[in-house]
Amino acid sequence: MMLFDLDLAERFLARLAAETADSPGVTRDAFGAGEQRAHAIAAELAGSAGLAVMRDFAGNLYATVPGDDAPALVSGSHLDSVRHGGNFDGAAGFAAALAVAAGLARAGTKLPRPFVAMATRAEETVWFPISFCGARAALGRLPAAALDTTRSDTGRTLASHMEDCGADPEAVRAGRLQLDPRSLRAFIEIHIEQGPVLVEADRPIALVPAIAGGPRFRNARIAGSYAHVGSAPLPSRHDAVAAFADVTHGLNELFREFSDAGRHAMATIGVVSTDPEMAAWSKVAGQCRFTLDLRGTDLDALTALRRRLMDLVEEAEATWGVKIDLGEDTGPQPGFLDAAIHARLRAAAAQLGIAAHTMPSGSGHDALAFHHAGVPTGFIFVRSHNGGHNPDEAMDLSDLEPACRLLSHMATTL
Amino acid sequence: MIPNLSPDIDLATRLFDELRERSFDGVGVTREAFGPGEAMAHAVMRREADALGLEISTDVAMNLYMTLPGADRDAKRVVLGSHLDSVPQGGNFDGAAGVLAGLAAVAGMRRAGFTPARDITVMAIRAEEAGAWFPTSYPGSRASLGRLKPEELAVKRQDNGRTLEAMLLEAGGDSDAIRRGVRVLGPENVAAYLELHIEQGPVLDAEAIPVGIVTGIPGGRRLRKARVLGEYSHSGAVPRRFRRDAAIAAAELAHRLDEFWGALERGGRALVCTFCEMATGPQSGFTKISGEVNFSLDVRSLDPADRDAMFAELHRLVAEISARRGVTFDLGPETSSTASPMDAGVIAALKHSAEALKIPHKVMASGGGHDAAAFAQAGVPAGMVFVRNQNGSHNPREAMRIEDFAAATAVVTHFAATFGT
Repeated sequence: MMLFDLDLAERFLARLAAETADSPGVTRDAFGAGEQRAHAIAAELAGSAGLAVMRDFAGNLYATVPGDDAPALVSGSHLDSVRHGGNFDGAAGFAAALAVAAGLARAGTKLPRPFVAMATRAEETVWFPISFCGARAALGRLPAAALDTTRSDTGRTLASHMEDCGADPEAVRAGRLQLDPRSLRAFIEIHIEQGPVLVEADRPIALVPAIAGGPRFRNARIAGSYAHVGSAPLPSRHDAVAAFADVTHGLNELFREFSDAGRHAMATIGVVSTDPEMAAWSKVAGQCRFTLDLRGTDLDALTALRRRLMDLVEEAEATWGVKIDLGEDTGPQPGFLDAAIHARLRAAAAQLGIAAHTMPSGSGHDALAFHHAGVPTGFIFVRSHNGGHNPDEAMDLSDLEPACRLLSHMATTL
Repeated sequence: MIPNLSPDIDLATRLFDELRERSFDGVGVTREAFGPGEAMAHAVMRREADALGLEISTDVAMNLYMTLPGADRDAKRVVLGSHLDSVPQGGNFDGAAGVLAGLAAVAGMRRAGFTPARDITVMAIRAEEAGAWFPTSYPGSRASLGRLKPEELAVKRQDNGRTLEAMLLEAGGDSDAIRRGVRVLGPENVAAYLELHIEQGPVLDAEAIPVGIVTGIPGGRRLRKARVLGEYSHSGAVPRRFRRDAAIAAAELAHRLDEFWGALERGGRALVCTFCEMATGPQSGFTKISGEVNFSLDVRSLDPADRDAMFAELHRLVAEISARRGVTFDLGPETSSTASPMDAGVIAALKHSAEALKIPHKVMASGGGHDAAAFAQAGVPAGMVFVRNQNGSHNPREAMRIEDFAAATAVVTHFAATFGT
């Protein structure tokens, strides 16, 4: 008996692609028109599948299949996207949960506990500089200060955008709780992988025991001095670019060692920039800013990377006579998800004959917010092609199928 | 040589003060090339030259000549010159020191009743600060030498977009004569061109020596628009072996080229290698592996073999890093300038003057380019004297001690009075 409606997932994803298209790709702006449209489609399809649909004060959407009076199993993901992003990042997870909810409801299966498909809000931090806005608000864990942060494109506050979408920022400010962690048996998120590992491993899904965290420096700055290139011989130049190169090249060497040893700790320079106003050919660069993203699930390796970074900073300051300010470390701790849920998923996959890979997630997801709130949390990757956060991102429905099967099994057996 | 011949440093001090006061912009000094600041400075020099009874003239590019007549009016002259423009919010001494040194030298001669063997001409040159105003090298001095190309008249001033020709005509210049290659100066009528200039660098200050005698102006090889192309991807989701990371490729290139430079220096070679600009492309983001980095590279040395060695290493590293990291380097067009060695006879005479005056000096290469390069390229025997200065140049904190200026100007005066006699 098929306890999930894969056709519904397909219809949902097709409507999203059509109705939030922004060539190339889709744009579903958080607490904006794109995300609103996606939530409206979700509500419409969930309602027509006979599910009880409700929204919370933060605009998150819930489609519930009733069960015995026991803490609920919640599954879902976000519906916003980056600008000109792909259709599957986030939406695939809600599509799977919706498919399972609809399948269970149609079959009239008696569930040991309610199953809730949840569509969260504002997960992509390109819009608001806050991680997991919707999920954390539902869990009563979004700081009130977050309401005053502004959306990167409109410059308007989160509170104002929430009001536009019919949500109630004052309830967030008051710390109201929609999902009491004690009332939840587990949260399971399905998400596309965003990377190439499952394609290479030739597996449709992966079970994810941990979500990476690590030190993150969004605003590192090197201050040297501008000087004429010809008049600044090697011992006397305070070259910000040279210092940057020494630090990042040195750090990359350790990243290479860890990577070669199969350890999960990565270092990425996302942005580097000399000052476009001041830097020019024939001048030694007096300033340089960069971002540094260290992440992984190997805590020892992350600690070693961080220590090496501090040593390299000190060395470069001495070598080049520059001042390096790494700025605030905004990185979350890695999240080691619930071992029991992970074991249940693994056992279920084996029982259902699903060839599941095991790998940590390199990036953060709403699941982390549930994990940090104390909810037993599981995570499943679905193979995707061409990465994530870009219009070429692609997922085969046949790869979503085993994820749905696994989730449906959990809903009936957990 | 008259024993009491000494430069008029009081005159120079007074004029430094006046120039600073009249071109102060609230932060530093601004003397725009072919703009009000430079015009003011030229007017001040002309007024002083007039007061000193010098012969005054201008040329097709409105360079200013202030001549103390020599005993033999037909002999090739000695030219003492530099530029009067400055970068925006720059220092007061860069350029102006050379013109005021010339005026102080001839004023000292006038005061002593000294008639030089040959004409000594103080030259105030236009528009030297190419990085700030007209992006072409030494348009003022090259026009005086008949070597400014007609197409260079079309270059635009970077702040206001107006052409060199329009601004030169407005100042009273003659662009048609420049097009015809009319020249005022050349090897046929100049015995030596000598430029005093602040060092702009820290070497003399670090070694506690007031005066530098310059061996030459280095040539360079430059990449102004180079880039590395990789592939944008997610920083968390993409393991290292899949990455084509442009930022780390650029960092590795900069780091390893810097190490190679250090090795050359330890081997006694003299050069500078600078990644002047480096920036990820517009699609970059905090959680993205970088797909594009743009950079500029500037390598300078007196000996062409040294910069060629750096570029050979550059090309070797580019091939190696591309292969290993799966990125592509697009180095863009390369521009170059030839080195301009100073004239051996002028260098020897300057050393002789410094030794005769017992002024400590260091023989050294120039780092930056100067009008003296244009004279050397034109076949005029050229030389330069550096004055120790603090806090570099092209900034409001640029500083120079007047006693160091006095020592260097004494060398200039001695040289001008004795060269070729």
